[in-house]
Amino acid sequence: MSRPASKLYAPGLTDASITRAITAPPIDGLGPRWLVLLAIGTTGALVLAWALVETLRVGVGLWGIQVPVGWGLAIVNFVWWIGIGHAGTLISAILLLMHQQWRTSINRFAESMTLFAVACAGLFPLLHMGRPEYFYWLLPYPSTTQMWPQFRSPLVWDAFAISTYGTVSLLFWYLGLVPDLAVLRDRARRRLTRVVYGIFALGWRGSSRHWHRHQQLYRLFAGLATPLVVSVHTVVSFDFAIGLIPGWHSTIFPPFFVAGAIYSGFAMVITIAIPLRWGLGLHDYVRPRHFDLIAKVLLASGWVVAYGYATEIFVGWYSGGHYELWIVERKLVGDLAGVFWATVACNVVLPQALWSKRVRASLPALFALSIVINIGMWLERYLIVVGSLEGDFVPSSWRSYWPTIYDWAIYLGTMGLFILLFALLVRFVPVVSMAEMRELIREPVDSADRIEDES
Amino acid sequence: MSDLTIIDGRPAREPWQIEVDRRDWLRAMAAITGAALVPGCRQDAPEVVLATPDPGHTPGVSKRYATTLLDGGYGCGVVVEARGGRPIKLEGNPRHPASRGAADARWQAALLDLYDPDRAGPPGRRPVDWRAIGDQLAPLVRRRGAGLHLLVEPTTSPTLIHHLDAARAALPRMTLHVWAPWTRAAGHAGLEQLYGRPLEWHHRLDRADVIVALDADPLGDGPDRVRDAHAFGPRRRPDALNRLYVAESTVTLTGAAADHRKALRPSAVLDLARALVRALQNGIIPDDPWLRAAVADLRDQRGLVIAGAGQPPRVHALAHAANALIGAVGDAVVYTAPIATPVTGLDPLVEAIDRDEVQALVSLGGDPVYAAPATLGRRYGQIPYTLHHARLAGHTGSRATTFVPALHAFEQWGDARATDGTVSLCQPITAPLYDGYSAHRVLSAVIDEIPVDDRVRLERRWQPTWGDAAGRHRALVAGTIEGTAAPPVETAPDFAAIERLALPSDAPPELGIELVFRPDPYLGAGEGANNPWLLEAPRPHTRLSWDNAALMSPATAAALGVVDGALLRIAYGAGRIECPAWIQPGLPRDVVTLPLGWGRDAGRMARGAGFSAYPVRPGEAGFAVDAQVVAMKARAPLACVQPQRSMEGRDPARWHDGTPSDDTSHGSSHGRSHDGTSHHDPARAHPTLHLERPRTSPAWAMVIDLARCIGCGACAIACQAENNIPVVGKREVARGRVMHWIRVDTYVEQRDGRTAWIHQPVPCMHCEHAPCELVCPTAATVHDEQGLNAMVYNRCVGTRYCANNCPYKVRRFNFFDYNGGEDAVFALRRNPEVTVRAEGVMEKCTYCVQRLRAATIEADTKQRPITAPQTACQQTCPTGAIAFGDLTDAESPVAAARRDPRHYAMLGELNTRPRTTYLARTTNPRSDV
Repeated sequence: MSRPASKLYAPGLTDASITRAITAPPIDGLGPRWLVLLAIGTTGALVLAWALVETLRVGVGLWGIQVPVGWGLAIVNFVWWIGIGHAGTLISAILLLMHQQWRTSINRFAESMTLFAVACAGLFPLLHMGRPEYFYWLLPYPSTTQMWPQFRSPLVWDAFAISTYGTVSLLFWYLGLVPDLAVLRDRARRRLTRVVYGIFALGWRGSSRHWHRHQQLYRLFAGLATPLVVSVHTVVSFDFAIGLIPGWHSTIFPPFFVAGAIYSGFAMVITIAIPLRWGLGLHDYVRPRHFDLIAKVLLASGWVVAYGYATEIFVGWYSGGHYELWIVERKLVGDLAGVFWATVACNVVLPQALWSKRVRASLPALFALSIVINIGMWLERYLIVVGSLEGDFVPSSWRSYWPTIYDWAIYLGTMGLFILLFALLVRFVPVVSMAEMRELIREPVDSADRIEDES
Repeated sequence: MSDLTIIDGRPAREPWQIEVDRRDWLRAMAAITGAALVPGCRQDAPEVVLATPDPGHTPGVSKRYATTLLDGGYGCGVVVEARGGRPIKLEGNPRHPASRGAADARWQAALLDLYDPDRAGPPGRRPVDWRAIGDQLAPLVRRRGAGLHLLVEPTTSPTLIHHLDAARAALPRMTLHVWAPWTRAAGHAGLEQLYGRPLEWHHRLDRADVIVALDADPLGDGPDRVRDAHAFGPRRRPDALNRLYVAESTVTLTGAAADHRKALRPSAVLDLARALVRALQNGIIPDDPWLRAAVADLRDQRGLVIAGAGQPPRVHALAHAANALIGAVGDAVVYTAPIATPVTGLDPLVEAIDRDEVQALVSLGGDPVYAAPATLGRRYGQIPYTLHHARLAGHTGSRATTFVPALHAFEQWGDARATDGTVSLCQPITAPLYDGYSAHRVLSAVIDEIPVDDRVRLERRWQPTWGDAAGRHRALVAGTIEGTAAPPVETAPDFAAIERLALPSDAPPELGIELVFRPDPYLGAGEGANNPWLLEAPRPHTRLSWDNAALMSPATAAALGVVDGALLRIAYGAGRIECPAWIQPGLPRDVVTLPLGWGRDAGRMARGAGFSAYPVRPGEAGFAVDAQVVAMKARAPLACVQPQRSMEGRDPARWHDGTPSDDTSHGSSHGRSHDGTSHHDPARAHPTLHLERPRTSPAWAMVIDLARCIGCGACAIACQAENNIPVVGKREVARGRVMHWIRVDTYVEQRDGRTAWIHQPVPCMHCEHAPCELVCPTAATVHDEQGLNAMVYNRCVGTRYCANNCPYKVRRFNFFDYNGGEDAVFALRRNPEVTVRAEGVMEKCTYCVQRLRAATIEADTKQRPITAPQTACQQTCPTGAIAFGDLTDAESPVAAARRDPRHYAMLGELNTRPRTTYLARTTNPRSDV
């Protein structure tokens, strides 16, 4: 029986060819390109380590923060990384539940992206504290002083939301990985490799009972992760929306932040997918159809973000409040205009090119746009966190914020850490889910994904 | 020259991290042990008397002593609080006429001078060898003082004057010079011009309904500034409003408080004074609207005319003539017999040096090489033997053959007179923390007499006045000697002479740029140059910290093509300096103000702070005409505490136009519509979904009267002393990390086409619905039952969310371990009642919770209702602008102030329910101007 060809994978894939191709890097290692990636990542991580040690040794005073801008680049970066972390879970959980087949080949590295982004993001709230050694005071634990956290503070909600998100994402990622780890165990040539993969494979034998339970649990986790996709950035947005600072105190923030998170997350998926596809030769698995669909998600979420900007401006004007108007004025024509219009250009204007099918089919164009959107989303968070604090209610306290070398070192350092973790991922873990790919090539092809006969 | 390192670069050392070497540390430890033994065990001064009943040796209970600080040679009575023998805080002495219980920033900071480790002198200084000094001076003493010159600062100390007279009697050929860079000498000379004899004067500002200041700053300059501010404050109440006319060449505290202010070149003040006197004498109506209004008011009401210390004697003579014409003499201004040593100037000394007649120069106090660089400074090295005696070595001490460190006022016996003649006494509250000697000891060495103990000397002098031991005890308790105030002197002005004085001049008006020299509001003429509290305190109008700058109006700056921080090269005569510029609205065109007192090589704190303007100052002049000012390309980084100086259409600080129950004093004048808050309780005007905080007694609250606040900044320093607030240094200030718990915001606005200033002290608002409490994740900031928004330092993890969410931005964060690296000796001054905050912890105004707790405990133990204590800022405020107390007590001043029609809550529309609220500033302009 001849199956219709799918846009989601190359024709002629078989169980054996998938396994061969995907297990190659973990089993056989990678070439010099990987070493370059590893070197870049390690350098970045060392920069991070230096800035981190200095910050812990000397104090957060090394950063550019001050009064009135008590949160600077660290919190901008935190929100940015957390936002990036959204796409992975959205792809793996929501699209799974919605039976979107195109998630299959990209979910593994998108989920990994989530994990690493959350790891990078998680550094910032810890580091930015004046006394990070007492970070656990934000968690409810039975202390001898009988003190609970102050539950009305969004930072406590943050601690819950992010730790939950991180834990669920890790377990979900690991759960999906178990059958693939068993494959690696079975194919490993060296004893040590076999033992290590064997430990992590948890005795997976591929029995139908195993598969049954795995599928049940996997879907259960997908169900658990789904609300988290929405809740985490909602809670992050509360950090600002609960505050009374003009530019923070805004009821649109939860949906606006979630849309922004999806937007930046999908942009980051493109930023990662294109080099990964090239570097690991994943052309059979990551197809133009994937990029086309991701670009459409970008376009859609981009418009939600644009709507958010418009609403902020409109409500600022409509409220008639002096302070709200003031922040609108600063954004449109004042001291924040440069950052604001750069944000609009990056997040609203330039991405409109995605309406064009040619742009969606051009990997260089998509890669460039994904970088532009990542920059734009960072600027947006800068505008919210720093811009609002620079000029709030009492004019005598207004002051411009200037990041220091430590702020930048930590930001670039987390990028280095992110790259390093990815380098390790592609070397030791299958970057495409073999189990799900094998399943996919057996499933009927969706009409939308079907390649019509040319005749 | 100011520190030109890039602000972002990390200097090797911060002021709060001054290296403490082993020697310093040992000395500090010795000081701790020594000081701890003072009250009971000191052998040499067992007669120190407490100002309050002796609490015995109860640990943790302060003792208070009345003593005296010197300010320009005049006495300023203070009460010093000592704990375990360490002075930790001072307040004004309510029984002293120059204080009346208030103090200003400079007096408050005098406490820190006591602990200044740089007092020990330049590194490597050997202990003072009196025999060597005697050997050096012996040949001159044998020649009855020929070739020996003595240079002292003006003094009113009766014992010191007596000793100086004795010295002159012993060495008749010795020459005595009296000089200081900034004195009341022009006023004395003016009075002498007018009345033909030397006189002393003081003001009674409370008695004047109309005050005309001719380039004078009674509220900010001179030894009577606290006295004058104390008298001025109550007269800004709406029911007792005086009217203040100020014509000035720079921006001063008095000018900013004026109802009618006129900016003019310093050289034009003389003509203005002449026109004023002519108008008063002959009834000529002047053309100038400011002068016309001033003259009309002076004729109709009880008035007072004051001339500034920077103006020549002629202007003072004219001002005093005007007082005679309007009948102010004996009322708002009082003349008494002279009490200070007359200023002789430096010219005779300089001429003597040029004639090679000076074999030895002994200078007591000050830093003449620094303050007179072109005259004495240049020649100082030519003198064969020089001895300098001062608290800090400075330029003079480090160049002198011998430097003898002086004692701090809190370490010695002494006396001084206030401007009204009242004698007050200095008591040694602590054993000398460092090697140091009194001026008497040096004088005795100079004239080769057997030194007499200072206490004995003092008692011999005052025994006849205070009589028996009980009288002596009374004087030491009070800090002043009863009945020593000088009686007023009758004066008869010569009206013909006045007419001659007031003749118009036909000198053409000066062109070119004029330089105005003024003592820095905090460093004075250089006395406070090594005091970190004073260095860091933002200047009232420039808001600059750790630097002075050449101040000029926006128009002058535009003409010269300079921006804030641009480097200038200023030349006058042979002197040249380089200094940064700072734009200061309100200055007259083509006038550049150079604050004195900076750039003095006085110690480690002073290093790199500001520039000295003395090289371009002609003699002791208050101004110089036709100076060269050239802008250079480079810029110097300056640390400004408040970059935004206008309110941008908002109304955190409000004006009241005088009509009662007037709701337009805010909001509508700025086109705002939504904050029509009721005046009766603006802090509770809006409905809320939050639970109302119960107001049980005591419910602490504070009301700050902007009409009384003159922006002097005394509150900030008093708070710094009381609450162990660290100094952070220029780089940290430039990055917005100053730690002051109460800041004095100063806004410059154009009102009716005139430049107007409004000062607003901002402590914590102690909001009943505090935005900070809601967002703290660890409950480190919570409300207490007395209505305080309390900080639990132990619980703070430093997320800074509270600071972000504070609409008033009063929270301060320990970005570094600001206290940890503090000099061990400085650390001795800390208030043991107040936690020293660690790195990474948030802090802010507590309403002096330690005082509130002490009062609560006292009330509890004595089973009686609590009496509201004073907060440190309130206690020191010279104008009484701060009311504090129990809101639920309808009789309390704070409750009364909250019923005032001028009452408003800053940002009341946010519904934060602040406990700190304000009274809008009143002005009293003439309606026809």
